[in-house]
Amino acid sequence: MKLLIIEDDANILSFLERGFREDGYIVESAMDGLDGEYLALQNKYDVIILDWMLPNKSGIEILTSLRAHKNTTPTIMLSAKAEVKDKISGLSIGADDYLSKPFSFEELQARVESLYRRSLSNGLNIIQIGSITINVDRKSVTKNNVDVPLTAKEYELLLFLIQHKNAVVSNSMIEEQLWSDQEYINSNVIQVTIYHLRKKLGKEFIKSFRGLGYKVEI
Amino acid sequence: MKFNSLKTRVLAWFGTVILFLLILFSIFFHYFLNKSINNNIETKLFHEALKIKEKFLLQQKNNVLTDDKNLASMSYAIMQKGTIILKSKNFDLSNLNTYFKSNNSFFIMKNKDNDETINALYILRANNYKICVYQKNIDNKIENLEDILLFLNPILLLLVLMAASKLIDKILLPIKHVTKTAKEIGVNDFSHTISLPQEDDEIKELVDSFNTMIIRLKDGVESLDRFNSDVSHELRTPLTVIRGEVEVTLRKLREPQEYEKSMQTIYYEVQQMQKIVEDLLLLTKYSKENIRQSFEPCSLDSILLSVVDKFDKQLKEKNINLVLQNIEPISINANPFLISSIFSNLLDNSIKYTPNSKSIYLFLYKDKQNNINFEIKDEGVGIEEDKLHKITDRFYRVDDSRNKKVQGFGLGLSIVKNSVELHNAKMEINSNIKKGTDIRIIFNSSF
Repeated sequence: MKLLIIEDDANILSFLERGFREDGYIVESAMDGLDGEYLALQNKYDVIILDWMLPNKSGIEILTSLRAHKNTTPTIMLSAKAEVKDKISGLSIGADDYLSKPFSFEELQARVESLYRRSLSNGLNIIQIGSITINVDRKSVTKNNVDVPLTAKEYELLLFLIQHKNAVVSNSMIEEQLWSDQEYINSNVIQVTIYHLRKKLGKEFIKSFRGLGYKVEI
Repeated sequence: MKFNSLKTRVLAWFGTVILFLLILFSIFFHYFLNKSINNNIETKLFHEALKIKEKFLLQQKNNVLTDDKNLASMSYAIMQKGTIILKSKNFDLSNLNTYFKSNNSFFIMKNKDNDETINALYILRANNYKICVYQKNIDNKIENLEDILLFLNPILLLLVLMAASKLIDKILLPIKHVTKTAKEIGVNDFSHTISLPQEDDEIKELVDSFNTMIIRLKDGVESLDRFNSDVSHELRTPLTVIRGEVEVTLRKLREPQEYEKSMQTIYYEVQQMQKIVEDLLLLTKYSKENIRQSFEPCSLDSILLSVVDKFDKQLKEKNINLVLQNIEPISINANPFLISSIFSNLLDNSIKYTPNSKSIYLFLYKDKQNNINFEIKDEGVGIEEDKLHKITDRFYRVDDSRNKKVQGFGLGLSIVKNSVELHNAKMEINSNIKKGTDIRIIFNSSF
């Protein structure tokens, strides 16, 4: 999962980045409102974690601008303001969730996961495509009720393809989503991962278009 | 109506006073009227006695007093040497001797048979005879009056109390409004004020002070709310870091270097929290009432120089040229801790907002009026004019996004302002954007 964290306190940002990266998330971050807004508009993220008070452009302003640009990336707001009216004003301009400081990292992670799941499968825990069942909570995949063990990258790639179901996903899109935290990747790595996925789930599940990319049809 | 209410008490006091006055009036009225009636009867009987005496003297030789129509209503007797020598037919008073023994000449006797009348006796003492005039069954006006007074007094009292009750209600009506409004005021609801009465009286004054109090309370609660939310806001950030850092670090076993880094982060945030708490304590510890007890002779120049020493490292880091322009040796009675915090907060701010390699100037001198001036002048970024009046507010920072490049919570200038006020000093701030800020603190010479 690809996360954008916009937070101006270096120490808060530090543990957030560390925590999410350790759990396999791809994390990008900004400590300034304008930089954060630029990243959010330029790149595609699964979830944005947005601080309320930021230099140069506040969280509220960034969120308003994102929604005005028809960017619907699930966004969770962080704020030291704990009053109900602050939460309401954050939620009413388009935040998907709100967490007051100090928060538990586990809770933040659970909420991020929940937002991601909601955007992926309309809030359902289980995605069913033909004989393949994906349990988003348990991060497990079964084919004809038999467990299919997947690596973290294979699972992420599967979710990404399902997210863009019935559309061709290019190699560069996959690279940007799954490997953007690495400066250098072996050009074969995407092909190899796809190969493993098709082997485990069935060739007909992921269609390949030479030179264009891959597609999951539902 | 409550038993212990103001109205009941006023009515009780008022009623008691009125009752006392009515009784007093009745007693006096009764006494003087009684005296006047008796005097009238006495005078009348005396005149009758004189008439009888004249007739008796005229007709003495006959020893017979002819019946006179004028004397028909009277009964009389003439005594000589203890025996009645002459009496009217209707004279029926026995035991006359008891009256003769007395020195008085006028007697009022209650009628045994009829309460509404009295009998009166007058004895005219002449040389060798006594004339007794006796009138029976005189209308007892006093007795009637007693009845009237006994009946009238309670009614009068009741009427007065009823009128007083209405009047008190009218007087207390604005106070009831005040009570009603006061009941409606909650900690979060200061929207009500009381409408001012038309008359310019004591009640209007009360309502006016009450309204002023509501506004002051409102301001107080609002500023307290703001302060609370500011404090909690400032404490939440370090708490978030400490909690998150610990939580993430504890998820698995790590290398010693990672623990060390986490500990350093936590230590830094704990220091931040400690600084906030200490600053807040400093802001609330002293007041106008207790500040004098903490005063001692302070050498301002040496406090200033020791503060300057502490900033040596920061000055060198930014290569700022600190110029001690004019530092006179000056001693005053003051709180050395607060004086030191004034100097260090101002110098700290100046260093923060002055670009590298610029200058800061310090002055400490007595002016012509013998007032002590401390002045700090920097070549920093300056403060916009519309923000000048806010910079001494607690937690206010010119950069509202809490730019982390400049450390601080926005308490420094609040502490300075507070300390300056506690020393009855004045603070003047002049600032020009991009040219710098000039802050002057003037301690009164008579202070």
